Order: sequence, then structure tokens, then C-alpha cells
Amino acid sequence: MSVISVKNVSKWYGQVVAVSDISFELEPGVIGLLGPNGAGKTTLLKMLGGLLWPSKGEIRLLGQPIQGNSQIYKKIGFCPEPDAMYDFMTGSEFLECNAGLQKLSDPKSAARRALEIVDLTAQKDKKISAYSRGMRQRLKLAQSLLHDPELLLLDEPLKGADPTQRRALIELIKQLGQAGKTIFVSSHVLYEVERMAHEIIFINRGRLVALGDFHAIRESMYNRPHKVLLEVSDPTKLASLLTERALVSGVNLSTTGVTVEVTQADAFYGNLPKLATETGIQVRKLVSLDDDLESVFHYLVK
Amino acid sequence: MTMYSIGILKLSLRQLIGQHRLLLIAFLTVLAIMPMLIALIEIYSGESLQEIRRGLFDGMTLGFIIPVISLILSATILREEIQTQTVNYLILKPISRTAITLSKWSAAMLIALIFNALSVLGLIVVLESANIETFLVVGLIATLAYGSFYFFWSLMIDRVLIGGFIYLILWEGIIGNISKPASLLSIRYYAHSMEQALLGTNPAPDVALSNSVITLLTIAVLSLVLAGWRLSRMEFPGSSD
Repeated sequence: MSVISVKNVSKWYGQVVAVSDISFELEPGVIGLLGPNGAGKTTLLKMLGGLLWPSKGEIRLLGQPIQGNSQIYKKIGFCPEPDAMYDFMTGSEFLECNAGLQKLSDPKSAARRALEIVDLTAQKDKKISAYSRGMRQRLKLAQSLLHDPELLLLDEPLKGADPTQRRALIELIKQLGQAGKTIFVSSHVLYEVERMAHEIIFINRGRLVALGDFHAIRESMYNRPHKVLLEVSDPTKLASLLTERALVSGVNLSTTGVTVEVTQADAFYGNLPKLATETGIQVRKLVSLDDDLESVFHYLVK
Repeated sequence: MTMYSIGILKLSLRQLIGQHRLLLIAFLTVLAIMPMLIALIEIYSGESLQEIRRGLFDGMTLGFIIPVISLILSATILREEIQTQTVNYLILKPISRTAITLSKWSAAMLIALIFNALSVLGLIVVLESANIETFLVVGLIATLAYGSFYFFWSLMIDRVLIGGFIYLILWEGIIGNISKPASLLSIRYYAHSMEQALLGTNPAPDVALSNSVITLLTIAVLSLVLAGWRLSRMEFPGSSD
């Protein structure tokens, strides 16, 4: 049984299609949801959370339907993107209130634990209206963790957090994923998704563009050559040999090295050591310039 | 599955009591008492106490204070949460939408009934206690009808406060006074008929007491059922991505 099962789901508002015929199944771990603005990320997350109904198709979480099934929220935590909270409460009161609504047996200790997790214990008695944006963000995340849910749906959870807090939150999300939870997290910050997610879902214009490990997705994009920077003892000679043996589809020489475009990664990486040994060229540094999430994202969006 | 959430009731009461809204309600309650002081002067100038009391209840308490207090409380209790998107914290909990509806409605009704009862009881303070139980019963049943009616409409339209005032001033206040068929479609008409029937005025009201009470309670129950139905099917798109 998949934790998240989405089958042929579409969502439209009149003539506007927000999500178009998306299907996927997800297992435990951290899954990043990526897409440009207006791609349909929040719509998809809200459908998963039961705040929106699909116009077509079916969504099941933990094997159960969401619509009309409020008891499923005992197992699901949702961190919404909007900044709205009950500003007249203190952070501690807000969490206790949410723990009470979650019907936890000891709301106070649940609130205390959640405050510790997001490092807000020192500010627990401050009114939420006096919280900074980063603190509000952490408080929202804390309310989604109160009941130790199996599935977490996080909409831009790092927005507004400072770099130190971001690092801490990324570590927290990774730990939760390693502990067997399923965390579906949307973010605009590709670097952060790359650091926490083991799997990614790309959507663009409401359609599912790619799903899986981003390195594997990158590998499957044969029509987009990899860019590799090589710092070597003799860049000109290496560039000439690589071109001659058809191991690269393009070269760009600079004073320190050569940047090559590789279409067939296996052949290139397999032959490079042999070539270096045969010719006596020293390879000092080898850097893949576009084997990161951002490059994959831009290729897919284009 | 429970049909009620004490947690939401407590939260809603805190929302209602802890904000500026309560000051406005308290002001309206005091406002309901002010004309009675003016009426005292009229009493000393020889007018009938019974007529003054009825005039004040009809014109001020039933005609303005009760519907406005009911509107301010019941139309905003859930609509504001939908607009600010704090409703997410209620919807995404193991609480049925029926329980959310009932808890929110009852919080608004509780405060509205207290303040509307206070505005009616102001009549005792200033104008003695004759027929006060009649005014109290009519006021409380009218509060249930108005409150539930506005509560339902707050789930149907965004600008329910404006809509509510338009209904009150234009429909009940102006059109209802000019056109008899239009008045048949107003809460005020049945509340007024109920009051007349209980006081035994001459001529007797067009609508019998039982029919007025049944109509007002039907409006309250039907509005509440429709509100529950509406919330159970409601989506919360908020801002787009």
C-alpha cells in the first residue's frame, strides 16, 4: 500500500486547468515537490490535504480516501503556506489549542515537545503577533508535528527562516524521513529540496513532468548533455583527444581547464582515466556543472 | 464521530470576546438602553408607558439592535477564519465539518443571546418589568432566526456584513414596510407578529402565534442545516501558487 496514491487527478476552475491528469504513488521518505510559480504545486498539496477536491480522479492517503474522512487527520500533519495564525495567542497557547483540537491526551506536553523541536521554547510566551516571519514559520511547522503524524504535507516550510534555522529545519525534515515518515514538501528553493529530498516530483503547467531520484532523472535526459569542468595539465591536448574519439559533443577551453559537453556519460567517465594514463595528462579536478537539481529543474521547465 | 467540538467552542468564544468586536457589541447594547432614558422624559410628560415600551422594543431593540448584534457575531465567526485562512487549522483536524459548523454557530449564538437579552432587559431597568418576558422570548427567538440566517449566508458570500445590512435596511426596513408580500419574506415580520400575538394587541396580527414561532424556528434550523451542508462541500483554495 502506497502512503500517497494519486490516480488521474485533475483540478479545474471553470475554463482554467490547475492540475491535469496527474498520477503517482509515493512510499515513505522525503519527497520534494517542485515547479515554477503557477505550476499547480499548492493546488496539488491542498488536494492531498483535503482543502480542495479533485474535479476528476482519486486521491488516497495511507490507503484511505480523504473526502469526508476527518479521522485521517490523526495521521496527517499539514503545514500551510499562508502566514495566518491566531495572533492573539502566545506560541504555547496556539500549540496547546491545536493539540486539543487534535484530541491529544496531554496537549501541554505535546506543545512543549513541538516547541523544543522547532527551537521556540524561549519565545513560547510571546504573542504570535510579535513573532518574526521565521518564528511564525517554525510555529506552523510545530503544529503539524504535534501528533507525531505518519504523513507530513509541508507547503514552503522554510519560507522566512534565517540560514541557521533553515539548516536546522532541513536536518529535522531529513531525520523525520529517515525515521520512516513520509514527508511531501514543496519549495521554490531547489538547493534546499536537493539537500532534504530523496525523490522529487516536477510539475509544470499542472502536468507531471518528472518523478523520481533527480540524478536518475538527469541521467535519462539524453538530449541534454552534461557539462563537466576538467582542470588538467594540458587542456588543449585533452580537448583534442576527447573530440577525436567522439567522447564529447562540445568543448570550451579556458586558461585553467576545459569544459566539455558529455552526451554519453558512461562512455566518457569510463574512458577518461584510460586516456589520461595513455597520454600522461594529469587530471587535477573534475566537476559536474549541471548535475544538480537546479539544472534539472531548468531543463524540465524549458 | 462526535458532532461537537468543545475546543472549537472555547477558541471561538475567545475570538469573540478578545477582540474589538465585543466593544462594538457592548456599545450597541448600551445604545439600546439610551432611548429608554429619553423615554423617561416622555413618561413624565404624560405618554402611556405601555406604548412607549412597545415602541422602543419594536423600533430599536427588535428593529435594529437584535439583528445587528446577530449579524456582527454570526456572520463573522466563520467567514473571517475562511478569509484569513486560519480555518485550515480547524479543517485539518480530526473534527467533522458538522461539528465545526455546530461549534462555531453555538459560540456566536451564545454571545448574541447574552447581549440581546441584556438589551431587552434594559427595558426592565428603565421602564419597569411589565411584559418583559414577552419581549425576552421574542428577542431570543428572533436572535436564533437572524443569527442562523446570517451564519448560513456567511458561508455563501464573501461580503456578508454588507449583504446583511442591505437586507436589514433595504428589505426589512424599507421594502418590507411598503410591500406586504415582501414583508412576508422577512424575519422581522414574524418576530413582530409573535410579539403582537403574545401581547394580545388589537387588531390581532395576521399570522397566528404558533405559525410565527414555527416560521422563525424553521428559519433557524433550516439555515443551520444548510450551513452544515455548505461547509461539508466547501473548498479552501486560498491564494494560488
